[in-house]
Amino acid sequence: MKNLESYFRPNNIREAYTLLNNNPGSKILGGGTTIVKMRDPKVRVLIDIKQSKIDYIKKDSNIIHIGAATRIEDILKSPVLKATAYGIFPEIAGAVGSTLTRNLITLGGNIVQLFYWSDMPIALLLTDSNINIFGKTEQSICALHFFEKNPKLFLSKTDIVTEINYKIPPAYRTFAFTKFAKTKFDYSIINVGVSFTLLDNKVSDSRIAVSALTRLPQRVEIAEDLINGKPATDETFEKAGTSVSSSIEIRNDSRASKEYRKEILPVLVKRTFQSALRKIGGTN
Amino acid sequence: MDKIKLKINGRTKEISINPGDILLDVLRREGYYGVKKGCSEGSCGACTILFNGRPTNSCLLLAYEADDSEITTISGIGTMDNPHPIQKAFVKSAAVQCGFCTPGMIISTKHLLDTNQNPDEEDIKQALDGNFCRCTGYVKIIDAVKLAAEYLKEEE
Repeated sequence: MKNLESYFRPNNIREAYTLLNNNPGSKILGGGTTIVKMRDPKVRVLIDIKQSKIDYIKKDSNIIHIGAATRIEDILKSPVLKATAYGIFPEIAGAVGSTLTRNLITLGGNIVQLFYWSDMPIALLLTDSNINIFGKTEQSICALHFFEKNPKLFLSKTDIVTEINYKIPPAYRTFAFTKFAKTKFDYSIINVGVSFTLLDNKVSDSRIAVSALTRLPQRVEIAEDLINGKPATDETFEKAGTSVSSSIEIRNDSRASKEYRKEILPVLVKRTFQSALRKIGGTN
Repeated sequence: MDKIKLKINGRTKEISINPGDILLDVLRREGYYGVKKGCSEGSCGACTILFNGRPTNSCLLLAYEADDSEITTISGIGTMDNPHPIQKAFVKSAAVQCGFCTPGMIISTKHLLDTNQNPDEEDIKQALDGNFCRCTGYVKIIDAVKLAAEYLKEEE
């Protein structure tokens, strides 16, 4: 990074915020898998937040707290996260990059430096997570709203995402995720995540989240409303898939055409629902 | 020029760096040629090191980030006169062809076997999923990791 002039390693978030304020144009360094990889010549000052005490996974009565600087590899291996929400955070973490890059990539970085193929936003959308932000004011935004726009467009230059947290769902609420890519390591072509509660063998309070084939990660509420109250059967899951496919604006890119994605998306939605149902011992 | 202070293969060193230096380049400049430059973008794993105990791509780290850190490179794993059991296993299993990926493979293997003495094939594939090999087709490498696990158990 030929134009980098200064590097700071603040001990806490207040210090990080002060440094961002006092160094216009400075950028936060999380895992570095984007900023360092791109060797961005415009970057002159970096504020490394990996030691700013926001690297943790904690359970606090009925809330899970994940610090924004927590490495994806730690999320993958966390017994606390494996034990909640059917381990959806570790399941999705396992789809991110490789062991080597997961030891660098931070959760905060994965949701702020948002790419089409970013995987972790699906976990946040399925668990109705909140994202805590430290800046001029402290705020907390739910995932549904956080991903309505690219975060880089609404976060100010001095805003720091500090934590992601979610209420631990009941054990009878199931979660599943499917990543479709050419190889395990490659960027995703389609990400689908689902969660629902099974009541009298009917789907209830469902969440359907997609990314990689849309401009931003999103829930598909039209499809959720369609299947809530319906029996947890393949027929319902197929309807969900068709609804998702027809409700979203699907991207075309070098990895896959819009037509290809549209063709396989309903299959992946159905399979993800089937996987979620199996986890709670349901059969369709 | 700034200075960073760190431990490399157990030895404390103070190294002068330019602010924008990438750790991989600094390590090679300091003579750690076992850390290979492949893709420079975190895809191939040839530059794998243990960074504060974590296997990771040194091409995605700034040298600044290594200040006050502990790094292990392939030359800290074993020597020609005293190879590590993992290195012996790789040779015994014919898991080395051109050898370019081998240092990275061995570092990732070291971390795996330090944390899991009985890895199954899925564990091995996951641990090495960031290390690419264009020569071997991976079968012999997986065999080498299994053999290394046996060697290490025998040593205990």
